[in-house]
Amino acid sequence: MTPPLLEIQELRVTFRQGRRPPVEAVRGVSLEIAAGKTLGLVGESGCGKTTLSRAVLGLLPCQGRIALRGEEISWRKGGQELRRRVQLIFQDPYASLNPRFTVEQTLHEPLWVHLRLPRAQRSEQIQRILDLTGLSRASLGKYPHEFSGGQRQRIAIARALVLEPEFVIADEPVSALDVSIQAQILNLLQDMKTELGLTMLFISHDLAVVRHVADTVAVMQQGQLVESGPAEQVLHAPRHAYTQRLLAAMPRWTRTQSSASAPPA
Amino acid sequence: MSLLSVENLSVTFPLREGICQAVREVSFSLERGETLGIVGESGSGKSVCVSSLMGLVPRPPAEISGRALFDGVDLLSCRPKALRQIRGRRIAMIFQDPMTSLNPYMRVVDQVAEPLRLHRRLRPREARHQAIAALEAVGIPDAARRAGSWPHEFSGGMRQRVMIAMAMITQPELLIADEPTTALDVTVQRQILDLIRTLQRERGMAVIFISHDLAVVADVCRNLAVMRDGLMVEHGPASRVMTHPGHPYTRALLECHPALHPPGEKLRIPPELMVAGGPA
Repeated sequence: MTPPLLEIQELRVTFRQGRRPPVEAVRGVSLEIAAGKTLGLVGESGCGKTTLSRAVLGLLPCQGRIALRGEEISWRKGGQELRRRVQLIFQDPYASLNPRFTVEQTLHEPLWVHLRLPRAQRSEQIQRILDLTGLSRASLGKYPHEFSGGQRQRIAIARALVLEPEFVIADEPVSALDVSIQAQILNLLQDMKTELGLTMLFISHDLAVVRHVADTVAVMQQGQLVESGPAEQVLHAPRHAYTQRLLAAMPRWTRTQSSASAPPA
Repeated sequence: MSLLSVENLSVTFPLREGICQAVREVSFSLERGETLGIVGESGSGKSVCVSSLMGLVPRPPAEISGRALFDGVDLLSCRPKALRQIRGRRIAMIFQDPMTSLNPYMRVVDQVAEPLRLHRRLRPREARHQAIAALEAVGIPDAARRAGSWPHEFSGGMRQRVMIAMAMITQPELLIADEPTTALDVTVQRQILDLIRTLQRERGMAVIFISHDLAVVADVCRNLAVMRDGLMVEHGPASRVMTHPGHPYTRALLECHPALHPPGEKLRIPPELMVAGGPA
């Protein structure tokens, strides 16, 4: 049996601050994501979703085991190579792009830093990613401020995918966007999943969105995983009281529509 | 007579080249105790529309035309003094971002009490007393003890409650809530929506609720209006708009919602929505 693409065992992140009691932001979380699948991570703010993702990316010190394709990873030793294999899409496309870089510079940089590709090859790869993400050649010479929020998120996704990562973490990638733009970005991520076989950790507090993109869903509360399983099961027959509460908090229309469009069990 | 009747409201801003028509000939009326939701995407003019009623759109540069009668007084042409008599007392407003709309240098209790001091000329002690009662009414646990805290000591949901307490303390006849739950989590959003509804029913207050999310608005409001490019393209009872939208744009907004699609299937994006922000 092939090992899951990403496997996390007993992950713990603790923040210590002066004499105050330490804050355990992530308390022993274990989860795995199979290759080509999307895991939706839900929970309210402060529950540890973002901390978990930052720990996986090596941006925070943590305890526990993180394995990529069955091999335990260490950011201290394999940092440079790992950063190429794992990429991140942020929530706010107004803050996550360098305002003084043109789109072309933004896309060239990772290819140069990680692969030292010659210019011609870099341009070729960039052209490919532009086609995939639905950006025009004309956008290469422009700066982020010349684009709308949805277009910026497209650029951020192109930047994350230009290195052809094995694994992508998307932290609330559509919560800053209008519904129509949100739909376009969700479709784009869906395309990337089918065309590139992308494996994704998708963080969101919007259950309707998670239900749409995720194969499996994990629910976090106060640093712990309270429920996880196939998306349909968790979102339609939740077992944990907290998941039930999250679902009950959805607007009435969204709730009734999503149960109506669910495939028959 | 309606509580608020807006006739042919237009707001334009001069640009370096030409003008921007943010709100175009919008008319609607609101009865006492009515709840109206205004929905639209960013840039559709919904916030400018209500801000101009509150005198929060500076002119110049903006040009505002039309009439907005609140209980017989035209909010757009009355004298500043008359507007101050109404604003904050008979019409209150809640803003989207509870992080930036509270004064960071003022203790919570003093902020909630301020409208009473200004509009009712209450003594500090009495105003404070009522402010604590108002904080309790919006569900802040242990209000008496927390009243002396600073805004930064509160979470987002709690700050939004403080905003609501402050808005409600003069018992306004109209509450304008501009995206009050957009910055909040689903569970906190639910609590705030329920709170606004309960207060609205208890006090028979009229509410204008602005949001980009049709589903959220339909939970709170009896009537819905949809705005696009400064125009009000649809206006009617929420039950009808959500099930039988009359305008193609409203239908399109509902159709691209992920809840309507089986998981994993691509979202249908109606051509009405492809104009702005589509692939360049």
